[in-house]
Order: sequence, then C-alpha cells, then structure tokens
Amino acid sequence: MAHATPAASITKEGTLEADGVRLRYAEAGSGEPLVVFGSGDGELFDPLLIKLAGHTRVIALEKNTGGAAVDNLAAKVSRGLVRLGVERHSVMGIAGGAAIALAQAIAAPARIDKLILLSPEWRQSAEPAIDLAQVKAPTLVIAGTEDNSGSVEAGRLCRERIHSCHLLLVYDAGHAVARDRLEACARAIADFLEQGEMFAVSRESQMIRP
Amino acid sequence: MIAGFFNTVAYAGPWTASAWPMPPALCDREAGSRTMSQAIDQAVLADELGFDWISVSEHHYSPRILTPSPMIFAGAITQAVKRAKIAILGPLLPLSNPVRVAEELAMLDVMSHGRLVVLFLRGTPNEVLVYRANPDETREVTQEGVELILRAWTEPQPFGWEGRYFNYRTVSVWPRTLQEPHPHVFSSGNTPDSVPFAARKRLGLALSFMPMAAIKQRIELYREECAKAGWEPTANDVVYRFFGHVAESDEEARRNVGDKKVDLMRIFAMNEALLKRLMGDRGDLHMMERPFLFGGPAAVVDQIGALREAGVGNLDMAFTWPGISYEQQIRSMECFASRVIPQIRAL
Repeated sequence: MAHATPAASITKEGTLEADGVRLRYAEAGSGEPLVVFGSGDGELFDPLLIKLAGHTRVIALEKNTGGAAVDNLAAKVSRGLVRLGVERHSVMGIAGGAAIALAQAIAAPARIDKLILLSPEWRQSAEPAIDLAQVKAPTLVIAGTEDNSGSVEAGRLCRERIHSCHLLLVYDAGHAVARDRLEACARAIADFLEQGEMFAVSRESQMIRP
Repeated sequence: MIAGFFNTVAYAGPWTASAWPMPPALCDREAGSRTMSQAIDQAVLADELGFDWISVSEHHYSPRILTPSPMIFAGAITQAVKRAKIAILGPLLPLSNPVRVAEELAMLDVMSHGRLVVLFLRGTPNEVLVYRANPDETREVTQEGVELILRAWTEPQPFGWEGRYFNYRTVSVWPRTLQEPHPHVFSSGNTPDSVPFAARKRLGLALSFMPMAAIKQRIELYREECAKAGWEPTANDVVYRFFGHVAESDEEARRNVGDKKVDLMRIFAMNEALLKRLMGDRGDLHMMERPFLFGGPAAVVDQIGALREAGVGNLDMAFTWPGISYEQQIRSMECFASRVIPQIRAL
C-alpha cells in the first residue's frame, strides 16, 4: 500500500431496497467491494472510508435498521447488494455496525471475502447469541488500547472463537479508533483487504543499503 | 523500608580514563571475566546479608557497569540468589525490541519463582548512540514500549500492535510471568515530564542520583498526578537509586571516601557539541561531592528516615565510589546490613 493515497470522493448515493428494507448508501472508489456498516446514522463517509476508497470500492450503508433483527437484515442486505451488482464482497462493521457485519458473514459465508470489525460493540449475551465459530471469512478485529467500552474484550472473544482471526490493538487510541489514529487504521485495513491472512507477513525489506 | 543492593558489576581491572565510549582495548580479558564471577559472589553475599533485592541495570560501552544485557546477568543470579528479589532497573526500551524484553523478563520471573521487579528506562543521553536511536523520541518510544510489554504480559489471546514506534502483527508471549498479573513495574520520574505517565499507568516511580529537594518535588508531583488518575500511591511505589558508603563511624566513612567526587558529566565525557545535542531536556548533570548516604550507622539511619519522610519506600543502593576498593564495598555492605537494615525495617 502506498503511504499517500488520493482522496476519493463519493461517486454514487442512493437507497438499497430489498424485501421491505430501505437503507441509504453511498459509494466511492474502485476495486474489490467493501461493504461498511458504519457507527452512526449521519454522514455515511468519514475520513477513514474516504482513505479506504483510495484503495478499493467502498459501499457505506446506514446502520439504522428500522428495528429489524440483525440476522434477517443481513440476508436482505445481501439480496439488495446483488441489485447493485455486488455478489462477493468484504464487510466491515464499525462499533454498533459490528453485529450486522458479523450476521452477514454468518448468513452468507460464500459471499463474504473478509470480515473487519472496528471497535466492535455487541453483547455476547444478546438474543440470539452470535455463534462466532460460524464465521468462515478471515477476520480482522481492530480496537484501541484506550478503549474501555468492551471492544478489546469482544476482540479477544473473536480471536478465540473465529477460526482465522487477527486482533490488532491500536496504541494510544480510544473507542473512536480511526479518529485517534487514522493512518494506522487505514493502513492496517488496506493491508488486510489486500493480503488477507498474509498481512501478518512483512513485505518490507530489512536491507538498509544494497 | 525495602533495602535493595544495586549491583553495578563494575569492571574489576584497573582503569582511570574517563571517556565514552571507552575503547575495548582497555578491557583486560581476564579482568572482564573476573568481574562477572566477583559480581555474582557479591549478589550472593547481599542475599545472605539480608538485602531485600539485588538490582542490575543496563549500560553500554563503559567499565562502570558491565551489564549491557542485564537479563543475562539476572538469569545467572536467579540461580545463585536464593531469597532476595531480582530487580532489573532496567532495560533501555529505545535500544530494544519490547516484545523480546517482555519474553526475557517473563522467563526471569519464572526462573526466579516470581521474584522479579522491573523498571523500564530510556537510557542516559549518550546511550542513543549505541544502536543509533533518535534522541528526540526516546521518551515516547519508552512509553509506548512499556504499554506494549504490559499488554504482552496480560493479553490472553494473540494480538497485533499498531503503534507509533513499534509494529507487530503477532504477539503471544510464553511463558506467562509467575506473578499475576505481572511483576511490580516502576517508571522513571527523573524528569518531571515523565511523572504523569507513571501515575496514569498506575506504575511505581523510580528516581535516581538527585538531591533531596528534587526527590520531594517529584514525589509530590507523582502524588498529585496519581490523585488525578484516581489512585493513591504508597511509599512502596517509590524507589530511589543512589550511591552510599557506610562505615563504623562518620570519621571512618570520611576517611574512606576522602575528597573523591563523581562528576556525571565526566561519565558521559565526549565531544561537547555532541553531548549538548544529546542532553535535550535532560536538565543538569551535577557533580556529586560525596555519596548520597554517607557516614556511620546512626547518621545513615537518620538520612534514610528523611527519605522515608519524603515518600521513598525502596532503597536501591550502590556501594561503589571512586577510590573505594571492592573490599571496602564489602565492609560497607556488611556494616549496612548489620547496623542499618535492622533499624530501618519498621520505617
């Protein structure tokens, strides 16, 4: 991944509709699609997604589910995405969006390339409980070292139960991990999207001078 | 009051030059080897005399302290020292891979059956030259390193670290430390700017080679910062490292020490412009006219009382001083152990 990436701008906005669910979406960038369930219900694109759109095609969906259960919603979103021409994709859930991203990875494993959870917020005690062992996609969980909201604990649980999961702690960052360490988050996510599990292998030469 | 013995592992051969780095040609190979055997004997003696911990430090390229790798020396004394704790005060994080440090310290805690005490440091100003670290970043590098090590000791699952100065994608330290959650960790308060970090992270405070007024000022600041962070430290959270010389009487101590002084600037003697560049925010390196603790047992007990009053609960005492022979060090240690330790226990 290059250090400097061009700022991407939103190329398309609309509403994703499927089986009675209507979700606002916006997209930017080109390449393998990354579907993002954001943390808020306001602006769909934040500086992190704008950066990631410099590497890949980012489709940001609003989190507001209108009260639908996350597992039902996941299947409907998948059908809606097909209408946008998106069959196989990676999915990222930010904070409260983590539960939907997880549900989507479990509901449609064949369609999910990689799963990324950023500062995940969900309660394992929630009904129905999420069975993390059913996640088949290579997974990256990112949490800030100063995050006391439970994201690190959620990350440990994912690392323990998902068959291929990396837990990445971002130093000196709180729950708004990408606001606190934007470059660090963008770099790690772009690396993971590009290399999957191989992102743990260094590609930087240790040679100083040939 | 905890009485720690600072084992400097000073070169046993003769040396008079004051330069840094000291040319290796001046190190007699046999004397280097003898230094290690003697220092291990001295650690065993300190244990038998009743000192509460034996400490080692990391310094480089100098006859003053022959433990560039304190872990190796500590590994040896874990097997020779039966009772006292082993204090590594401490690894220099800007010169290290913190994950490796976490692994080695965990080994030492296990090898010593849970007797490890640790202080992480950024090194004396000259030491950035050793592995070519950036002098402007040593505090930030050290603080990130400390947090990474604490994580490496406590995270139950493998993790990656996306730091500012360190980047790892796979960290999963074995063995775990025997002490739970980890050994007692101190952090330097030698510059006031470092104190809030120790307080925020609920670490102990380590001070060294500073006058009493500065000790009091730092401890006050530490208490204020701890209160802000929602906790109250005790004297057990503060360690002070210093030179000391104890004899049977004040007169004998004066005679032994004579007019020999320690000039910290001479320890780092090098090109003046270079040293000025490296000093940065480190403040003044002062001349020490005499050991911090000095005199007969009664005088020394009073001085320790003043330290305790200031909030120091752990002494880390080096018995070395220019002109003091190894035999005189041993006598001073014996005098301290028999005449001073019993009187400061209850402080």
